[in-house]
Amino acid sequence: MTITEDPPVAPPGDGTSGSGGGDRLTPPWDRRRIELTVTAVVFGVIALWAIRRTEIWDLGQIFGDGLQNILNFLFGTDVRNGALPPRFDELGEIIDQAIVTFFMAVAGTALAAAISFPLGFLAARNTTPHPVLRYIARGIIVFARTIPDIVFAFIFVRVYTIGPLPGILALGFHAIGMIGKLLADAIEETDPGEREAIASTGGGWFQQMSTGVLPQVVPSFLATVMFRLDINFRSSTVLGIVGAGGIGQLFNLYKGNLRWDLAMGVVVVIMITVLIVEAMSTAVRKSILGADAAREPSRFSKWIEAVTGRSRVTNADLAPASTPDVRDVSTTTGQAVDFDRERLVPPFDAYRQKMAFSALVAAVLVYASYLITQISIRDFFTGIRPQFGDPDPGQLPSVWNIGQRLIPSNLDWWTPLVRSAMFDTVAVGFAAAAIGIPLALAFAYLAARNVSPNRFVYAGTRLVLVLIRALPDLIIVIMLVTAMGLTLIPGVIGLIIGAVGFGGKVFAEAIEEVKEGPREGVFATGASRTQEAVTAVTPQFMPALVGLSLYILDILIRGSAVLGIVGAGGIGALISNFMQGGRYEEVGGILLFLFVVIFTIERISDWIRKRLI
Amino acid sequence: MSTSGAAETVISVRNLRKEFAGGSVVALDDVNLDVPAGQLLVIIGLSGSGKSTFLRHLNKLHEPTAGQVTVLGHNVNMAKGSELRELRRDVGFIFQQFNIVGRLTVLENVLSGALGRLRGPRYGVLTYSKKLRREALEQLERVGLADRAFQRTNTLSGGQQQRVAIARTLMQQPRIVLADEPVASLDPEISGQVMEVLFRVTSEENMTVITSLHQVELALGWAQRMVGLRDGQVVLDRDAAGLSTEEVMTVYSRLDPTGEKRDEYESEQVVGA
Repeated sequence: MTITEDPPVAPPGDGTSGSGGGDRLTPPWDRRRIELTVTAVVFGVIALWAIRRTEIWDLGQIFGDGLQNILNFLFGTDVRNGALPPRFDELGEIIDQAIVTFFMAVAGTALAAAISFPLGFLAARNTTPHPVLRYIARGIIVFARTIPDIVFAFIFVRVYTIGPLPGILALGFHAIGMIGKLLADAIEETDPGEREAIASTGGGWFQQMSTGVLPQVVPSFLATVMFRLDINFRSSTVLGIVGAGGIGQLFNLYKGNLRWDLAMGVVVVIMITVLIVEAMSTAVRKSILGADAAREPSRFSKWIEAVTGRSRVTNADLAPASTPDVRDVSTTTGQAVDFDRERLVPPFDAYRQKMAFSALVAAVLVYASYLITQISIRDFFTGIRPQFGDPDPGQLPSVWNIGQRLIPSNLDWWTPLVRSAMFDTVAVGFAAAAIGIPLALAFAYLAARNVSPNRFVYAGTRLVLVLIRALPDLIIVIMLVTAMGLTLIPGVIGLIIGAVGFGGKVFAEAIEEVKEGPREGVFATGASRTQEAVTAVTPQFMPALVGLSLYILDILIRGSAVLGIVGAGGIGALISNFMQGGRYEEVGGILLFLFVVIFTIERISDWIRKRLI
Repeated sequence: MSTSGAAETVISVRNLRKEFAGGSVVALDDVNLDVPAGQLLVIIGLSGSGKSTFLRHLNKLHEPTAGQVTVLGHNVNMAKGSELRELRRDVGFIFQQFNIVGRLTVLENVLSGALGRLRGPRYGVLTYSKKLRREALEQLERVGLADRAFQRTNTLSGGQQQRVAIARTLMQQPRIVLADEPVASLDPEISGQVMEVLFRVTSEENMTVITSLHQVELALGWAQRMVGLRDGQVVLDRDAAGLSTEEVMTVYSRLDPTGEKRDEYESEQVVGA
């Protein structure tokens, strides 16, 4: 058989050949469309399996007995007091603990930033001194991200006993996964030209980094750290449930005494402080990145901004479709500035004042976190001392010791029980994603300021999303477990609520990035608002929707892995049991398994993102 | 003032005034214009003279500060909801930046022109009836792109994308077509081709066309009537027949001796900055 350059001739009636394209009225089954369809079907089947396995389809169980149980839990029965209204008997103590919790988050975030900074340079392809170092650094980052902070907290509580120190370390180590990854990604995206320019003047490696690379990544690094502070504060409020300090310990105490009205008081304080910290984090990020600087002020903007952290903009009369985005305007103006030509120091202008002030505040906060959480540096070092063999009775194990015992020496942990629990965990995550993501999408269309029917719907939806996000998933699950019993359903519902809060926000932000031109084009044909949202907005937003949905699925499965710690089944229940029984090898095996499962899901997500967007 | 004096007036603009930025920028200043059915009218003028702003008032992409706009018997100022949709369906609009949805297939972009006739949202080519799909393919044939029906629109060249936009407009079955510098983003040769397609298909169906255009020669070749705008005012309104290039160019002569001009979008954008 001879090999020719000619393309194979399509069989007659195949219809995929280009020349026949003029006649056909249905899209051809090209490779991409087949892959897309297969992927959608596979995900659909998994979602159905997950919904069946978690019994979340059993609406009778949820809206019949379940709803009655929740109402009884909230409002009480003849024999039991309800959780509502919340009581604040020890408000002073609650507020003290809220402050400690905030500073735990500050310390944890500072720790994570300090470790991530060098790690990011080691993990970035273009700055790493050696490929082996890069793989090690990336490995540490992936590991830190995969293991939930509450599991880290579990381990550190064994070493440091109850208090803020294990919480801080847990927050710090887990956050490396995000800060380190985003920093490494940012470094890889820097313009190589600036670094080459330094190299070509004879600058060494550190000079290239400090002058050529660092200035390009500092704004995004700071924004990431501020964002992580917000996330860490949310997490830190529940770490107390495993004894790692902060306001969660108080919640746990009241819950243990079955004083749900007092526990509810703690929840209210958590929500309020989460909102305050989020607003602070948003304001500082906005100030650093200079976003929204050129926005038009309006009557409603102050109020809406207070609710949502964003200002209202859209006014069709002001922005014809083809104009560049106003938000690109930077905070620093291009105007010439006077300076002292003798001393040649940069003028201390408003921008530099702001930066110097921010740095001072950050330093004060970090130092204050050391004082307020009353952590001891000596305890920390005692905890990481090398220690071999079993510790003496009455002596606390060190991190090394536990780390050593976590490494499984055989496959005894690989039991049907573990596998079944892992299936439960994955099913809970998938079921929550299958239900939560469409709900989040519905919220997002109402919460995107460019698509929302009017600004009251916009502000109202944003407010609901902000309130939902202020309530930690784990606390919702604890209350649902108490009300409904130990099934998988509370976990799924808790994660659905979490998915709506997070997804609604990030989807809405992605919708707001959609280009106005094509929308105008479709509107001009006489399309209705709904038609336009589907035909012009959705296709533009589709890559973000797919990418973010996969990310949310990832978060939900990781979230589902810890729900068992509060009684909602899955792998977390086993981690919790084995941890308390000192069965570290089995815990280690489960963590390894969890790592593999989550890592696999991330790889699959990556593949889908690359292939289909 | 027009060759077809007997035809029905489809567009009537009275004392139209438009201010931006709370009155600091006057984009249109007392514009009056009547357009009879079937006329091909070309608007010329410097960037910033108000051409786009004028066109965008005719299908309510902008709302006037003062004055009266009547299109096909609708009071445009008051039109909203289903009346506005009906009006927009009858008035096709072609944009300088094409404004097609790049991630959709060519056919689906053309099909979106039928949304005004349909109830409810549509996603995906197969959610439109076979009859509409066939109609869309015919419109694509008229602009010479039928073989591209299932290609993603953002993989086409600029001139091809604008032809997709023209096909979308034709899919509306409009009575009036407004084109806002439809070829300003294209090179001269492609510009000629695209304008040729636009003028040919609209004259085939005797549509009323108003387009703004910078190519004076091209405009004189096709237009029945030329209108010149400067600083938001009508400074020229003549039958194209017998009009010389020199006369038209007076519209472009700059009053400002420095020759510095501001982009019209830019002047609309700067709001209390």
